[in-house]
Amino acid sequence: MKRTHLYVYHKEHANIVEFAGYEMPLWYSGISAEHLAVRNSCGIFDISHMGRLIVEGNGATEFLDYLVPSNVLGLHGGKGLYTVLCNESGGIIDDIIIYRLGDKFLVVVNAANLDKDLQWMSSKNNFNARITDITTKSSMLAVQGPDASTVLQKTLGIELSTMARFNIIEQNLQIGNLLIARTGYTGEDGFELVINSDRPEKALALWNKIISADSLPCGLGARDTLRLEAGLCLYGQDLNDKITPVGASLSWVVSKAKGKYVGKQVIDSQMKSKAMVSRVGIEMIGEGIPRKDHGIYRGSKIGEITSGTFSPLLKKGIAVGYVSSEHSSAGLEVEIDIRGRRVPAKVVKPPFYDQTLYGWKRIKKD
Amino acid sequence: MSSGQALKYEVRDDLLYTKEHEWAKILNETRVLVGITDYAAKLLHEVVYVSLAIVNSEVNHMQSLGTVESVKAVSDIFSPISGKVVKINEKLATHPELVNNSPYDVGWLVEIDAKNLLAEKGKLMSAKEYSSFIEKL
Repeated sequence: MKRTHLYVYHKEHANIVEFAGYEMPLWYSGISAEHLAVRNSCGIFDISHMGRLIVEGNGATEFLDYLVPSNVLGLHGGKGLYTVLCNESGGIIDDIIIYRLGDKFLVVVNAANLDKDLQWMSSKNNFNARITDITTKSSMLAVQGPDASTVLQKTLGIELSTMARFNIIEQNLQIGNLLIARTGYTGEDGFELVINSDRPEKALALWNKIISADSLPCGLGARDTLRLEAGLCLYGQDLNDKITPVGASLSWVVSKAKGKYVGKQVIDSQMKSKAMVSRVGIEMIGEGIPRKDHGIYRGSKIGEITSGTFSPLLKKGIAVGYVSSEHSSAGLEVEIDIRGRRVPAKVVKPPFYDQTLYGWKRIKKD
Repeated sequence: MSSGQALKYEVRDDLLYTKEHEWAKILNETRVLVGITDYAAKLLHEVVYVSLAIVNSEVNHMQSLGTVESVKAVSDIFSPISGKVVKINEKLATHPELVNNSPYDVGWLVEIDAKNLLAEKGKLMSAKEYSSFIEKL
């Protein structure tokens, strides 16, 4: 079983769970409390289990551009983009973030997919790009919530409030060499930090410093409820190698003007025809919590839940699932088969929360 | 789900236990109060729905008595004792968190009118047996 540099802290303070081969914190003070801290103030997550690859060399840009449906050639230094790695049939191998740092790239992939992604990337590397896995030689923290920039400003002593979303900067600070990106997977404003050091005490020092600057340690439980409330996909549940970005309602990552890339043929033809299935949000009207594999019905079965949970913010069951496209309009009443009981629910467009009050687009009060 | 080092579990001496983490409190020759253990409550974490068998329904030893849902998961509750459900804890409909806050007291689940108590008592674990059982999990 693998452990991150922060394991000593987790062991002492959290309920530990196995995830993607790692012993990770499921929760510290409680899933709901952690969830609400991120929505209302600030929370911090250890996301060091996620894979981190450096891609560099002369052909690096062309290589990454060939691997994904998004436009990497047009990605400026200091910017990142969310995209997907696809196979020849357009199926999603992983959902990833590519950041450009001058002439090299940082690619962040899902923990469970790291080996598979590395193999896939190597097999497609006819560009002489150099791929280095820095996952175990670094740590990664996510600081998330409306107060994230204030907390980090206090901790790191650098102005971050004016940084644009999806931008990334490299900083040599007293605490070490840091990559700071204004990204996250909670729906909230926030930052992801990569600490380039294989010394656990470096990560631990930063972690403790951020906590004492008013942020709550959060585990994988809250990470899952937050990303689901924001309508963000989880690989292995909402995405897999049979679903294309068009089928997954992720067409926005596909650059229409692009030349050759892996999966282009299938993805292009799907972009022209109408998708057969759509990924939708489901909000319960009746009591109960929709879970993975529960059926979605309108008389007959129209689809299935891929992720479901209790929303700590809405205090009701929410889910993401796939339905045949003619049943995908928001407001449509459906029923969820919760262990043999048909419970009324409705189709909604995520995020599930009121975007004027929560999330990075919220209207600031002060 | 494995348990973290940060948690400690309460086991009460005056109760009997199942391997599925229910407790039974013998009230008299026929009446038994049933709930889930502190271990189960802590592992489930943040119970948000409790769905119980209805009053006057018959339940059998180690068969379903209802479900408890937390933010993360759903768990079946198994009846430690066969008999008729004579009372359910109505408070749990609006305050499911009582199962977490007070699993042995205010967060009890049902009261059963047992039909075979003497024989079935022997199938349950004592507090000592249950303690060593959860230590090995």
